[in-house]
Amino acid sequence: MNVLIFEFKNKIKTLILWEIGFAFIAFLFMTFYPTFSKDTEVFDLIIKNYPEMLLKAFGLNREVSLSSVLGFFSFVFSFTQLTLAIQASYYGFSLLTIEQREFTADFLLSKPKSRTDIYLGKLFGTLLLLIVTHLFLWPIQILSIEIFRDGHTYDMMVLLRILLGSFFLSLSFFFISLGLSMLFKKINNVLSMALAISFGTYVLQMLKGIIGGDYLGLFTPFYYYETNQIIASGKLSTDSFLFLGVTCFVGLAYSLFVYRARDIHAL
Amino acid sequence: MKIIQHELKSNFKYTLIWSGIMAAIIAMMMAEFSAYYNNPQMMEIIKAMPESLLKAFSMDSINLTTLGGFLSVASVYFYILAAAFALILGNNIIAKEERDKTAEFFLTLPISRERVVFSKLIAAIIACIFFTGITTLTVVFTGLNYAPDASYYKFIGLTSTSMLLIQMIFLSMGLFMAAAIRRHKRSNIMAVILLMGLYMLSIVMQLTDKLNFLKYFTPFDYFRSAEILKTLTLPRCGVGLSISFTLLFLALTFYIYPKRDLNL
Repeated sequence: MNVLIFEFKNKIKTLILWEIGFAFIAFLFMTFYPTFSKDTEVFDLIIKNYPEMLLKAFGLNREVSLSSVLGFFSFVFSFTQLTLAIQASYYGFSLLTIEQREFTADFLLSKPKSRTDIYLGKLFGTLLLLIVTHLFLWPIQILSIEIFRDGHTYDMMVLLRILLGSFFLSLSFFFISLGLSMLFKKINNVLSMALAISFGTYVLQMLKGIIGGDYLGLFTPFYYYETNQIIASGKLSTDSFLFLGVTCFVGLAYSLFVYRARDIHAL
Repeated sequence: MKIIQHELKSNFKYTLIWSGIMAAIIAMMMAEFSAYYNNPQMMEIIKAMPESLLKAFSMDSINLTTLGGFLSVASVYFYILAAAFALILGNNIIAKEERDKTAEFFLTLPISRERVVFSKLIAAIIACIFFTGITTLTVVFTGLNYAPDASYYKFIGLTSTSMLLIQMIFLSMGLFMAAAIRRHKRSNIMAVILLMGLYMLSIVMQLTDKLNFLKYFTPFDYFRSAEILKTLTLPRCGVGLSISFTLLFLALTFYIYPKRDLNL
C-alpha cells in the first residue's frame, strides 16, 4: 500500500501538466470547427463522387465527413491519442527501471517486502494514475465539443465509446512498454524509448491512413482504437478488445516474471 | 577523441533502436507500394480529376504511381521521427551527466567545458548521420525492384540532406534546452512540449490561411518534398533558415553551458 501511495503521489503533480496539454490540444483545434463545418459542405459533395481507392489515398473516408462534429473531432482526437500514448509508455518504461536509474534500489529493495508486493504496488499506483488521467480527460473533450459544436448534433454514445477506446489505448501502451522495459538491462533514457514506441507506431498509423494496405496497421495499437472506425460502425470492434486482452496479459505476465527474479545492482 | 568514442558507445543502443524502427516502417511501406506501382487505374483517376481539387490536397505535383511521388507523401512523417530522435539525443547527451551523477567525475577532469560540449556535439552529429544513412539505404534498397531512374536518386539525395538539416536544428535545440534548463526532468518535459507544439503548429497552419507567417518557425515545413520532387533543388529559404537556427542555438549553448551551475 505504501508503494502504491508513493507512486501515485510522485507523479500526480506532473499529471496537471499533461491535462493542460490535453485541454490545449482539444480547444485549439476545435476552435476551427465552426468555419470548417460551413466550408466543407460543398467539399463533401465532391468527395461523394470520387472512387474509393482515391479517397483512401488522400486519407479520407466516405462514411465520416470532416464537416460533422464527430468527424472533425476524430481528426483532432488523433493528436490527443498520440499524447496519451507518449504518457502511458513513459510510465511503462520508467516504472520498473527507476530504481537502477536513480540509485534507490538499495533503499526500496532492502525493505521487508517481496518483489511481487513491490511490483503490485507500483502497478496499481500507475493504473490509478491512468484512471485519474481519463477522469479529467473525458469532461475536457466533451466540453470542447459542446462549446464549439455550433448547433450541429452528435451521438453521445459514440463519443463515449471513442473515449473508452482511448482508455484502452493508454492501457495497451502502458503494458507493452512495461514488457519491453524488462528486455533491457538498464534504461537511462526513458523519454527516448517512450517517444520511439509512440511516435513510431503513430507514423505507421498515419501512413496506413494515406496509402491504405492490408497489414500496415496490424503492428500499431492506434489502429485498433481508430476513431473513424468507431464512428462508422458505432461500436468498438472485437479486435480492439482482443488486442487489449493480449497486450495486457502478455505485458503483465512477462514483466512480473522477469522482475521477480531480476538482478538489480545497488550502484 | 576519448569523449567522442565514449558518447557514441553510450548512445549506440538508442541510435540503433530508432534506426531500426525507421527501417521497419520504410520496409513495410514500400511493400505496400506494389499495389500502386504503374497501376493504370490509379493514373487514369488522377488524370480525370480537376486541378483545383488536386491543389486542395497539395497533390498537383504528386503522382502516387511513381516511386518519388509515393515517398514524398510520407516524407513529412519521416522528418518528424528524425526530429524527435535528434531532439532527445541532444537533450540527453548534455543532461545525462547530471542525471547519472557523473558530472562530478567528468567535469573535474582537466578539459574545458567548451571542449566537452564540442566533443558531445560531434558524437551526436555522427549518430544523426548514422540514422539518416540507415534511412536512405533502406529507401534505396527497398526501391530497387521498381526500376528507379536517375532523377529519383537525386530526389532521395536531396530529401536525405533536408532530413539531416532538420535534425541539426532539433539537435542544437536539444543541446540548448539541456544547457539552459537546470533540472534534467524539466528539460525532458520541455523537449516533448516543443516537439508536439511544432508538429501541431504545422497541422494548424494547414487549417487556416491567417497563420501563414508562422511557417518560418515550423522546421517540418521548410522542405516540402512535393516541391523538391518538382524542382529537384533544395528550397534556398529552408536551407538558410535551418542553418541559421542551428548556429543560433549552438552559439547559445556554448555561451550558457560553460558558465552554468551544475545541479549535483
